[in-house]
Amino acid sequence: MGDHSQYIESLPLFVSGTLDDAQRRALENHLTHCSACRSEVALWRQVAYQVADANRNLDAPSIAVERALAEIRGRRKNIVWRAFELVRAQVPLVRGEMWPSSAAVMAIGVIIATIVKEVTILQMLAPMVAAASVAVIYGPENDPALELTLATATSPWKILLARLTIVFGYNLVLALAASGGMLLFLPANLVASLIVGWFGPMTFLCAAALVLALWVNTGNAIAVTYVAWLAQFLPGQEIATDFRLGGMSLFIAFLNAYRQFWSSPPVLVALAVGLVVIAGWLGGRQGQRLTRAA
Amino acid sequence: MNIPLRELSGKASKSRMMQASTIPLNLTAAVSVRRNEEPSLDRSISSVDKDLQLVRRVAAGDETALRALFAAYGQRLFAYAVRLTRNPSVAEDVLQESLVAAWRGAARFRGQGRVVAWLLGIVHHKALNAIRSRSPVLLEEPEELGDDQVPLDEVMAEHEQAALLRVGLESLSLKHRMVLELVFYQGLDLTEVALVCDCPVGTVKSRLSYAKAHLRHIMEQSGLKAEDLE
Repeated sequence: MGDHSQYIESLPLFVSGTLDDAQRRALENHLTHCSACRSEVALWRQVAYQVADANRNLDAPSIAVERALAEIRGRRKNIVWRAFELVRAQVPLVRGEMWPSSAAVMAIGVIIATIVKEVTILQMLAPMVAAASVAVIYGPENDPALELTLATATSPWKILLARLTIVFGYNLVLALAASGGMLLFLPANLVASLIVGWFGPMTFLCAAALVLALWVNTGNAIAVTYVAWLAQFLPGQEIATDFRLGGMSLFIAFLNAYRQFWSSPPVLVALAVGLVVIAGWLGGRQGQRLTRAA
Repeated sequence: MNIPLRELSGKASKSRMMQASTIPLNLTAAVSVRRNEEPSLDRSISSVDKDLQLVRRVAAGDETALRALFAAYGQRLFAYAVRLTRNPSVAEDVLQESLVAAWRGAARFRGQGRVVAWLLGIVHHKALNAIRSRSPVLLEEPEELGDDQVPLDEVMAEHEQAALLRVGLESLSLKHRMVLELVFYQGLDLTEVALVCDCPVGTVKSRLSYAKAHLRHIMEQSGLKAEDLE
């Protein structure tokens, strides 16, 4: 009987053919001398037949897959189209003076860099122009129509993200065009290094400016990000010598590490993503406050 | 009694059963009339890899891969949806929703089981949702089958054992029928059934045991003995 109870749970699987070879052989051996299990197998085989028979004439309707694909395409198109529409709707709401002023500053940067043959100017300028532009994209002080915008069904973080896409995208194109202009007197590989040099800092500085603008205000956001960015260009060795700083080596080491930070695009971009998430949360809270006040 | 063992195994008698068109009263027939497209359980590594590749392609947005999955498993998925909902029209909607869900969830599939079990799990979930929204009473436990609940007079006129069994299967609750469906038609092992039904393996075993006792009870009511089935 011990054998019998050991095998009884396997009988449905024996009938359905899902036992492995060793289990199946052992069970076949057991069945030769256990009439109770044979009886069970017979019942399960009847059941298996009936279950299979009931499904015999069921053909999957091929229209189901076509309808599923149509639904998938519809959703995909919908998402892309809605995102495009949202971005387009936000273009007129971005402060108008941002477009020419960013372009003008970048143009001046290109001219100076060309004259003095010093591309570091562009590398320094591009993140600053972008950060200042991003700092003015949201909030009641920058957007008198914000309350009206928030009255729509679109959530504040989507509005924020759409404006960030527009302004960051615009400044990215400007900086790329300016760097492209450097091809006139620089080889392509150096221009590529130039782009890598400003892309990480620009991304991080924009995200930091956005968070600070939402958290504190636009003016402070621009001031703090500029100081943070420009601090790396301090001549550490000279300052330490001139002011006879006691912990000179410590100060220089810190400054080197700080410069290294600004030269690590993956770290800067990763931090920027985190900051944008925080900005989305801050923007959402600010939107709720404004709608409640209204 | 000498039993031809190869006859007892569902696996061994599949090819013959594929050709069966009438109900075999002598019980030499069996299991695998179940899938037109798959003559046997194909658990070979190449098949598993192929399915996994298809799912990865679906995750990457390849529509032909979804069509290929449908060609391979559509019939089984539809059959399961029909069994659960008992309504081909609702089952068609369930199938469509399941394919959309598979498309959206393909990126999260890590090959932790067979693709067919994953797909059946989706159909299971969608079908139960459809039942809940349309006729929640189907999900409730049936009352114990009383002596007067089996329309024996009608049944006896037909092939007695097979007809009794059909009545018995119909009178089982949804959760018991779905386990029988997954084991005997879909060819899943107990672990896979547990995953699809989202319950412990022990529950699957107890449902099988309950279904067997229930069917035996019905057989015995009509005077059939277990030995008569052999």
